[in-house]
Amino acid sequence: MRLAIIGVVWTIAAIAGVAIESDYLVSVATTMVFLGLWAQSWNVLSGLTGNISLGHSVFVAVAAYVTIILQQRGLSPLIGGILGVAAAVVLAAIIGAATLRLRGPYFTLATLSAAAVVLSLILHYSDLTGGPSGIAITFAHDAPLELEFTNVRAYYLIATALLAAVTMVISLLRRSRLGFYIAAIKSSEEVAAAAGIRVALVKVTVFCLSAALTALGGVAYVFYIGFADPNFLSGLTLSVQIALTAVVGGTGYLVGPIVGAMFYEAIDAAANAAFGAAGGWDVMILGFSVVAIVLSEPRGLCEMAVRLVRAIAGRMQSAVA
Amino acid sequence: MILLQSIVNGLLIGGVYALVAMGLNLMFGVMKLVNFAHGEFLMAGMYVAVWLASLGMLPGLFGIYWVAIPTMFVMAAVGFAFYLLLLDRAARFGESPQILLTIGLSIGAQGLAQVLRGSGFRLQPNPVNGAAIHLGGLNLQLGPTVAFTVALIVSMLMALLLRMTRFGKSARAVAESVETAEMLGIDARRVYIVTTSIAIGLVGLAGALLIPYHYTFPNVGQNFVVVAFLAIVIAGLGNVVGAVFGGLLMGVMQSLTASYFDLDLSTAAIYVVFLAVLLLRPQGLFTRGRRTL
Amino acid sequence: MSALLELKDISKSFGAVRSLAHVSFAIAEHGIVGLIGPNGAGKSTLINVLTGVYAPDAGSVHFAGRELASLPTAQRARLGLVRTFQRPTPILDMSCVEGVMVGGLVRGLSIAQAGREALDTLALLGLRDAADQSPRKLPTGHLKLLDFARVLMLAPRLVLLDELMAGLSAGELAQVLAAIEKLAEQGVAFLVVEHLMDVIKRLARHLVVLDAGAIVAAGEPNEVISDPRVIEAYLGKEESDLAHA
Repeated sequence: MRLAIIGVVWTIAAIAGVAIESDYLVSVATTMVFLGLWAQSWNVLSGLTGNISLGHSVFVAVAAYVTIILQQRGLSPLIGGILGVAAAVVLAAIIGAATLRLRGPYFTLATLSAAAVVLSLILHYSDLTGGPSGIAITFAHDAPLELEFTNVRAYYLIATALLAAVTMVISLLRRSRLGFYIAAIKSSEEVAAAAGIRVALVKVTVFCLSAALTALGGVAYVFYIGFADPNFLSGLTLSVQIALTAVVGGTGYLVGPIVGAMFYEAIDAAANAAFGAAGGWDVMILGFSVVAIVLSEPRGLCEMAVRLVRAIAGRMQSAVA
Repeated sequence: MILLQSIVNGLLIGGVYALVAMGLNLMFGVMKLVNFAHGEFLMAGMYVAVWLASLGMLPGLFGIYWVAIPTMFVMAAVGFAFYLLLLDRAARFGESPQILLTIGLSIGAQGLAQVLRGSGFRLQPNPVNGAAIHLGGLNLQLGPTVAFTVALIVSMLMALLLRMTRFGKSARAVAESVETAEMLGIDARRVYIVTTSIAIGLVGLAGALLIPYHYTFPNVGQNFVVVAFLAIVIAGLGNVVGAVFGGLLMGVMQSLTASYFDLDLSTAAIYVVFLAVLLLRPQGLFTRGRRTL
Repeated sequence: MSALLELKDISKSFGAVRSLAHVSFAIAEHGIVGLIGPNGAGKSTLINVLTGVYAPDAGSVHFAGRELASLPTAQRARLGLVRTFQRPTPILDMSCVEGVMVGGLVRGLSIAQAGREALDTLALLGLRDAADQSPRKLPTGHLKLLDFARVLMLAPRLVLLDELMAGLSAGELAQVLAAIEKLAEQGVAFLVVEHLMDVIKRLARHLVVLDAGAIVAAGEPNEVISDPRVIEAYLGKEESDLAHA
């Protein structure tokens, strides 16, 4: 059963991560897992309904800031995090309801604008949020209730657990009642309505679910990084990165976004190793890879892999016959 | 007086936005494509113009502007290649992949610029930079003024082009309905090629008009393209001439809000206005119902 | 016994074009009412008014004793008032049976139950073999039957069929007609919009004729078809369908 497979894979990944000696490698892996987690959450909305959101970073930012600000006032991030996710869901409900009638590029531009407005507000209310310099989380000792760990492997475990959980949720969603309604709506809203589906409710629910999962990642991420940088957390760059990661991997596949994250991090690490960190090589290679993939197989790397396997299997069959 | 100066500044800045928005809206109107890489073509135009300017300038106050026409043609050629090599192939896949392709191209181009030219800020020294005209108590920065003037002229030419020429009529037909246009014997693909070339040529011209007074750097396109998007939606997607007003309006809004709010709130204010238009009057402010071009 | 569906004095205009003028009739439970008329008579507009796509300019629609007013389409479907479209509307990324199951899920069935019922419904309409196929492979006629199956899964009380039969072979047609009669016996009412007079003569207990937005005749099918005003209405337009009656 799919859920069992996901569980097994997670166990292997968790053990591997903890066993690896190099802190640097575990760090890279953790970043990759967070990206995969966000891309997976993004795909709940955009992969299933076809509307491309370029504003998803806003859910990362809102959850992260709410959690940190509450922690500054003495509330454990375990509870603050829940409130942060709740705040992101409320925001998603508002945006979702407002954009119900928008399609295609209109929808995309609306999500982009929402994130930009939130970023501006975060920067403006600097007394609360620390403005452009952000908020730093410093700690010297482990404090699990405060989500503060000195060993990066703790964050790796949290991130991978979240990714496994989100993937399971999506797997269940596709075979659920809600999954049927979403597929019907994606095919045609008119037909879905004629079949009695509460279209508006389903769309807003999906938006909120996607936001909640993204926000969960945001809460964990900000403690992993130890720093809340508004321009990154609510920025267009992160939103674009999340969307591209999912698309490159393949939005039609359950593991597509995860593959996309692996691809992205691999390129990033290779470019940094070959050409050094600053300099634009990683961005350039990533961007042009997206172009290449879109032109050759818009359904993403997973689809390419499947086609390759089929081609090899076909050739092996004819070799045997 | 401060108010008037603010509005005038806004209009002048808006000139470049208008040029950028026109090309963007032309592509959307005819090809139904949102070109997220449009800002990077602006950036490329700026780098081309800066390089040409570094080769030498004509004598006189406006000597640097000789680069405008060559830059425009170079970028039009780039647009031509852009369509044939990339968009043409992506067209069969549908709307979503085209958008994603332009997004990928956008970040790839920014990276490329950084690799080739470094992330430094460039400005070719020239007499236009910092110069201003004084007119009835108002201060008109020379660079933006030239850009604004050119933008107005070009928009009038574009309007004529779309109304009077055969290409213009074909483009409008394709914008209305590709199937009908093809039934009338119009080669849609040829229209797309010319449209893209014109649109990118326009944004190249915008770049050339910017370099006398605006820094050139790899991410410079990002600010302009987002404003251009807001401008075209507010003007009405597909409404090319309306995009000019949209660009000018965005310039004025930026200028006015910057006078009264701090930078962050003024940015937020512009997006809020945009969202309001999008949700309340999605066909845009300058269209009468369902116009296409 | 009050009628299941009652239209009183429905009028609808689009700008200067009068699509429906003072249309009134009723459909009882177990009833099968035929609706015929030349192209442009307003049949589809009427269906759109009944399903809430258009709000009438005047008049009222009562369904199961309740005035529908501005109730949205999805809600009317959940109340038991459903329709099919003239152009087929398959759910493309799902198999045929999954697309049909959706209706059952809306009704509140579990996925397993919806699956079983969907297979039964497909069998009723002669589509059992296509269950696991993608709808992309089916001909238009079958796609329309799929739409019919989907809305049947809502356990509707009234089904508005908009030219369902076009494109079906003789055998398929016979199966569908038998299915409709069986459902009517069980209490489902139908409004059948058709150009095929054989179908109307077989199914309809009551026939309403629409022309230029108004009812020109209503009553027992055989009488109505031979009514001179009805023949006039058809002869004034294209080649008369009544020639085959």
